[in-house]
Amino acid sequence: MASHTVADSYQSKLQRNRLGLWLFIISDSFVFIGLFVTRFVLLPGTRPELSQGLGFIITSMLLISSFYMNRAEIEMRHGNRKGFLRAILVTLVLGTIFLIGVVGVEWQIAPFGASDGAEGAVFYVMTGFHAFHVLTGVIFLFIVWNNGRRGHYSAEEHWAVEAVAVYWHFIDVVWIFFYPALYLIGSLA
Amino acid sequence: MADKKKPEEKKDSRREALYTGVWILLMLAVLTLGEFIIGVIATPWASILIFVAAFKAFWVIKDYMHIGRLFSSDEEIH
Repeated sequence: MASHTVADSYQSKLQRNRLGLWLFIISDSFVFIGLFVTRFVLLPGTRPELSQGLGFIITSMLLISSFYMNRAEIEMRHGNRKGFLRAILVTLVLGTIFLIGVVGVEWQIAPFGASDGAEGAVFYVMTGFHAFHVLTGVIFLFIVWNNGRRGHYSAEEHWAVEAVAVYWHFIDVVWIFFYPALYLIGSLA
Repeated sequence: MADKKKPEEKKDSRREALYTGVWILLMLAVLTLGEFIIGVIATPWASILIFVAAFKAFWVIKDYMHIGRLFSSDEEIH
């Protein structure tokens, strides 16, 4: 009877946590929507001159990382700790590669700076704000991976794993819109 | 809850969830390649590119973010 009450309480707490996380994601997405709209207002019909190949590669990295994040959550849900740790580590590595690709490479080879008019402002604010989310996601992934390694999660109770998965996929959804907005739509200025 | 299921059922639901994940990844890969080709050869197709992005986002939100869990107390939605 007592264990039933504990299970019920965990279930209701889980539902509240989910609601809170989604409210945060919805409120955060308004900032990204604002940036997305700003890009089309400031650069109607044109796009920044960026490396198409690099854009495609980093986008692929982020999409594949989302697949592994989903896999990590499935493995934990089914009690496979080894599979969970492996998949979350792959997610972490791919997320780091994406971050290096944007900040370490694309920012360095872009033929304009942050202060070079609307083009620079749009590109650096959009990618910078997104990269900051990726960085926090990578830190969050590392914390969850480390806790998972120490056996903090089980098939029944793994809210932190679910939370980092939802947050990571949110970062992916934002980039799904930012990629065509920055790299594909419009002609070169 | 996961521990109340029989081992065969658990195995099946895991396999089903993994298959769904693979299908979503394949769809995202094909659509992203399509976007890349459209973006490189036909730049004026902005509305098509935004539609494709919205389509991709829909599947990620539905099957990777499991938005359905928000409206259900059932733990076994994948």
